[in-house]
Amino acid sequence: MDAPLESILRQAQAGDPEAFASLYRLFSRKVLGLCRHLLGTQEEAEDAASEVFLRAQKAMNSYRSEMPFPTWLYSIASHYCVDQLRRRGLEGRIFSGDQPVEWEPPSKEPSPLGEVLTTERRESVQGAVAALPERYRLPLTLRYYSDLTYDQIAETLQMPRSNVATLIFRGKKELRRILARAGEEGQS
Amino acid sequence: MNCFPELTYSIYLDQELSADERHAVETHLAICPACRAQVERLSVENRLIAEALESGGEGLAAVPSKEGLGFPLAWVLPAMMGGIFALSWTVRWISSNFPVSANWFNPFNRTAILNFFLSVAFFLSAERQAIFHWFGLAVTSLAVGLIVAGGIYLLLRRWPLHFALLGAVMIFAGPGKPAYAIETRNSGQTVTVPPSETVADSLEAGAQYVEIAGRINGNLIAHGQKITISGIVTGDVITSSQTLDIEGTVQGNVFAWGQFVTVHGKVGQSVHVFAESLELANGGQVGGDVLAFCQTVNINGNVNGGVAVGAASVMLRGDVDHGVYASAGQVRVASSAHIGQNLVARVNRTRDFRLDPGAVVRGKTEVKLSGNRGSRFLTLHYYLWRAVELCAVWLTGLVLFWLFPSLFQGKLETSSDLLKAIGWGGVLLVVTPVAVITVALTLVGLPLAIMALMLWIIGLFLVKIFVAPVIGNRLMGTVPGAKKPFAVPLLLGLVVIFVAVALPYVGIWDSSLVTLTGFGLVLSAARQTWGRRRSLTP
Ligand SMILES: [Zn+2]
Repeated sequence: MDAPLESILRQAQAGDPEAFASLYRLFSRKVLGLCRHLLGTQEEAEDAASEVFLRAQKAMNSYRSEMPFPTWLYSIASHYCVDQLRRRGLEGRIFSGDQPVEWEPPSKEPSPLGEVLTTERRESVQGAVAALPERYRLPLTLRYYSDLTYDQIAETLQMPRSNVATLIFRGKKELRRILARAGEEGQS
Repeated sequence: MNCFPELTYSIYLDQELSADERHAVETHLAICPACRAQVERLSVENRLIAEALESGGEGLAAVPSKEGLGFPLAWVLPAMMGGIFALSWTVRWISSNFPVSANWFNPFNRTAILNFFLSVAFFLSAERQAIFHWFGLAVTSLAVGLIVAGGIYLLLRRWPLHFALLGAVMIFAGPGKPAYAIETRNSGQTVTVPPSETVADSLEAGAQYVEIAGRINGNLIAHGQKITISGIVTGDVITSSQTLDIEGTVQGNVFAWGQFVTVHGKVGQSVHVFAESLELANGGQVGGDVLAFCQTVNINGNVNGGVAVGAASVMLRGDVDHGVYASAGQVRVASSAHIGQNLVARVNRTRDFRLDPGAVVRGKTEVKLSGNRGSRFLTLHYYLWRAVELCAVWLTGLVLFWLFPSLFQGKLETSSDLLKAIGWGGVLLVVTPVAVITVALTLVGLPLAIMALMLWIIGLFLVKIFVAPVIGNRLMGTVPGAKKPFAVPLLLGLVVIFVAVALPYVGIWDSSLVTLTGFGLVLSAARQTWGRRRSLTP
């Protein structure tokens, strides 16, 4: 964390609206992106992002500098979005948190994207990420977009930490599969 | 060599292994080029995912999920067979447990079904005009209802509370009378209140035959095949039955739903009937109004209030103290008839209305032709009605959007989108009625079919809501993907549609186009939503 951010944070914690506005400018794009990845649509993401900043502003005083500010903010955002998703009634199906996610034995599967991507265009990865089922997209987004730790993800999604690792890994494999299939369709 | 599984390397790269594990992995990587390469690829993959997420821009929702459609046949066949088995089992269970009292309405009784559908078809063909009129009203009330519900929802954003409150409202608003005052008699064959008996409270009766020869000091709520009232009911009578015969006296109102309703005796207040036929026999008397929606209506007795009916054929022989409004395929006022106020008949052609010489109409006699379109643009009433309808549809649209925004995600950006929407719309438009009839005749039956039919008819009326915002956004030049205002484009689009379908000659084509496109849009939105949901189930 760089010095200016620290001073902005101090001012924001002291209740300076200007300082909070600059925090908003610094992070709104990223938060909006996170919400969009988690919720799926632009409209919902925009509503969610503004709600997240409202909550962050209220909670500013509880922020402690042990945690990087972005991580703190993203965890508010992901909690809020996951809450929204739960409220949509999808809960039981995505986050069947308690039973452990089974580890599948490896079979003849596409290899990591590193190889596939020599021939694939970047946008198709974006498309594939967006097409991922929510149960994979959420952990992947929280890990690689928001840089949350497994523990933070586990807490947000309310599932055992071991499931986080497996879901992230399975998400990658699903991604490879989608891209491989898209590649085949493109050729035929 | 002890290579680790790929999962371990994935966790390793996420820096989430414990110190010991990390040490073990690093030791192995130092000596295993294959695993080093694998880890290298995994790390490239992580970076690509991060980049894709970082730049993963606008149209996330628009990315079609292809997996949704590619389910393997190996799953479909057993699933279908299982489904059919479950369905047939359910059907058998329902049919063997169907209450005798409702047998005339049993979905597995083919005669009853055919009869019902013929009636409905006949009714629909004879009553098009009236039905659309009623739909306008229904949509208005729906809009009001939705707004009230929305208000309640706003007050109580928490779901459980919300439902609890709605439930409470429905419980209090529903039966009106407290339940403890109702005596219930249900039997397979017959429920009889003999002439000597007086039921002190309201009676709820269900049986194949319900015969009320005695006295009920309260309301009668009855369902069955044949209900006969030869005694006295001091309150209201609410029935659903194939046949309802009132030979005695009902001092309150009658609400009847069924096939044949006959009133030989006296009804103190009004009679409301939705049935195949209603006959107020010679000597029968109704103290209030007669409101009926039937195939045939015969008024041979006396009505102290007015008569308002929608029917295929209306025959008037008796006395009506107030006015008569009849919207029907045929209206005949016989020479013995006597009408105290105005007579308004809405028919298709002049010759469908017949006023026999000798019939007395104290007020004015007015014959309105439903088919007559010539001057409708000149009447203020027409514009007022359209404006009301426009507002109602607009409000309904806003509420729908607010409740189910995902219904509006269908897109029409290219002409191929449009063609696709029209195509799917056509399929849905044709498939639904066919499916409804098939289901009604063969499977779980009538209730399902009726629900689907209702949805379909409501759909016919409401689909413009889904087309309007697309038109509105196009006209206003709103950029797709940007945060859209919804209310204004919706209103603009609705105005365009209302004008387009009201145009002479081309209106009918505009209206078909809007309907097809709308159905297509809803279907595509549903497929997107469904696809996304599907992908959630493990
Ligand atoms: Zn190795």
